[in-house]
Amino acid sequence: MAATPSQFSAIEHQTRRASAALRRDLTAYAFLAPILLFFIVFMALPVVWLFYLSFQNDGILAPARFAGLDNWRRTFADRLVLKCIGNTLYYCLIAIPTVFVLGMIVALSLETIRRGAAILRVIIYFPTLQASLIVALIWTFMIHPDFGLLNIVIRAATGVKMNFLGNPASAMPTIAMIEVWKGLGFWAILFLSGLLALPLDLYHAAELDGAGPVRRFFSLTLPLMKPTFYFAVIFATIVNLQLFDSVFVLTDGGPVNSTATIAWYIYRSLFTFSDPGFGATLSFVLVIVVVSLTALQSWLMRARV
Amino acid sequence: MPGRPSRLALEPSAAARWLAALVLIVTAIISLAPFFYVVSTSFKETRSLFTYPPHWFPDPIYFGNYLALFEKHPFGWWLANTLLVSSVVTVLKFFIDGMAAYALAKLDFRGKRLVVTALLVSVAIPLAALLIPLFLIVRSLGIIDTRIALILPPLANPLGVFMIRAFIAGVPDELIQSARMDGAGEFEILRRVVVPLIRPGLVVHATFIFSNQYTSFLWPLVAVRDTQKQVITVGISSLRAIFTVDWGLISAASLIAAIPLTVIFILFQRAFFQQSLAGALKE
Repeated sequence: MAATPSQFSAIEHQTRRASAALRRDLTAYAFLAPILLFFIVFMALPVVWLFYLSFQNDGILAPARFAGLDNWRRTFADRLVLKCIGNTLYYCLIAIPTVFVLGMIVALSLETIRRGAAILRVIIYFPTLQASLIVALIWTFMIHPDFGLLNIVIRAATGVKMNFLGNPASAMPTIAMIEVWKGLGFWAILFLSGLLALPLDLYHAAELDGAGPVRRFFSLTLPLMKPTFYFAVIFATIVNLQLFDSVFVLTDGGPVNSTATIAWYIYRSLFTFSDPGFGATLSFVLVIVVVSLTALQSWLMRARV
Repeated sequence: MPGRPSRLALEPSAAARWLAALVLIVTAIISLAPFFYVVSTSFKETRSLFTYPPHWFPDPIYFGNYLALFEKHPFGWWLANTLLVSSVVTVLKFFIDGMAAYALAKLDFRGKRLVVTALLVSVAIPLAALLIPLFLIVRSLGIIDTRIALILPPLANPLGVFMIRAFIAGVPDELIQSARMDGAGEFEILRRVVVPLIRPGLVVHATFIFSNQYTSFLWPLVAVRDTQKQVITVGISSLRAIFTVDWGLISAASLIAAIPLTVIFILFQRAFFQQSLAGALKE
């Protein structure tokens, strides 16, 4: 069967299109190759390895051996695991709402003042800029029972010597307070940029309709800033569920495990207890918790937009 | 900013402005007070800290803490390592994230959704959870306890890709199309058309990556044992572990550690606040 010229050109056209598509794909993947390489080796592979390690014991000092479901059983039976999850969530529930409310107040204030916003912005951002490790060290000694600045002030006012970190009831709120102090600048600037993006016309219209400042705040500003808040909630959850640096410096999980967080326990299981199988299982639990919480949040928020 | 109507109150009354100013001044004092105490402490001998009531200003001014950092501890190494590792990561990330972001923002290809989803999900994966396998991978690559171990794993962080992608998305497609018509290759387009247009965004990206790296603690703590190869955060925390805590020494160290980021931030703060991180990271 002889092909007609038109069929020829159709085939030729198709192959040319296919090779153009192939070239297009190759170009794109050439651009993506470096990030994908590092992503596979240092992100995807570790997650898979985590799952594999959770069925093994040893592997740091002694050779690894198969352990079946042993680690999983231990993880769910371990009281301290539950305590760590509880502590981490407790910390998030104190720190995130506090820093959001304060951050919003600072953002609104920065938008309202007549001058000086540029310099105040820099000052308020200053703590955010510092390493959380250094922030934790600075605060260890700001709240030091003997010579901490905060304690000196409190002692001068009330005569009481406070031991913020020595008490199981106050240790975690103290850490949360320090993290709020550090994070305030970040969230304030983030909210300010969200605020400045809102169209002023709407506010003028609302004013003409007789809506006062309070009304405008609750029925215009807050709803309009939803996209910013959505991002903020998800980002803050991911970051705060990993709380480690300040716990490591300030309390090392104590007193009586009241500040033991998931990340802290993972670190300890590897370097203090040389128990990577158990640590891996715990890590896998953390991955699942964070990823599903993030997915749930973005699903809930997308559904409500 | 003078005379600008605000969204809180369209024409804020004098009282509202004063209230806002008060809130900000209090916040600014609370933000800076600890640093002033650190400065003052860094010039005191640690044993003089225990006097009550305290001396707000060191008298006499004592430089021993700063000298001890460099004479008795490898503080110079820590600072150099941190600056080196952070700079290398920032430069590499400029290329890695820029190229990936261009592909995701302006190229069509099969499997794009999958790549985007994989990278997005990994934003949520906590680094702390990957500590153990990362340690084992880096150990089996034979680079544990080297500066390379500090550089490679952070390169996988996908946040920077999405950041640059948001900046590139703002570049009009027509510009890129017409460059293609002129026969420019994609890399050429990225380099000559896109990069010059998103320069402020790239400054923000670089600042973000650099400061992320400069302040990182957990991974360096795990990956490097040799104190001469250590970074500044881990180094400073190790000062604390030796016998009694020498607060004067730690204050001096924290203060020096704060300088590089502060300088960079002040230099680039305009770009930083204009192209807020938030807008860039919003997904």
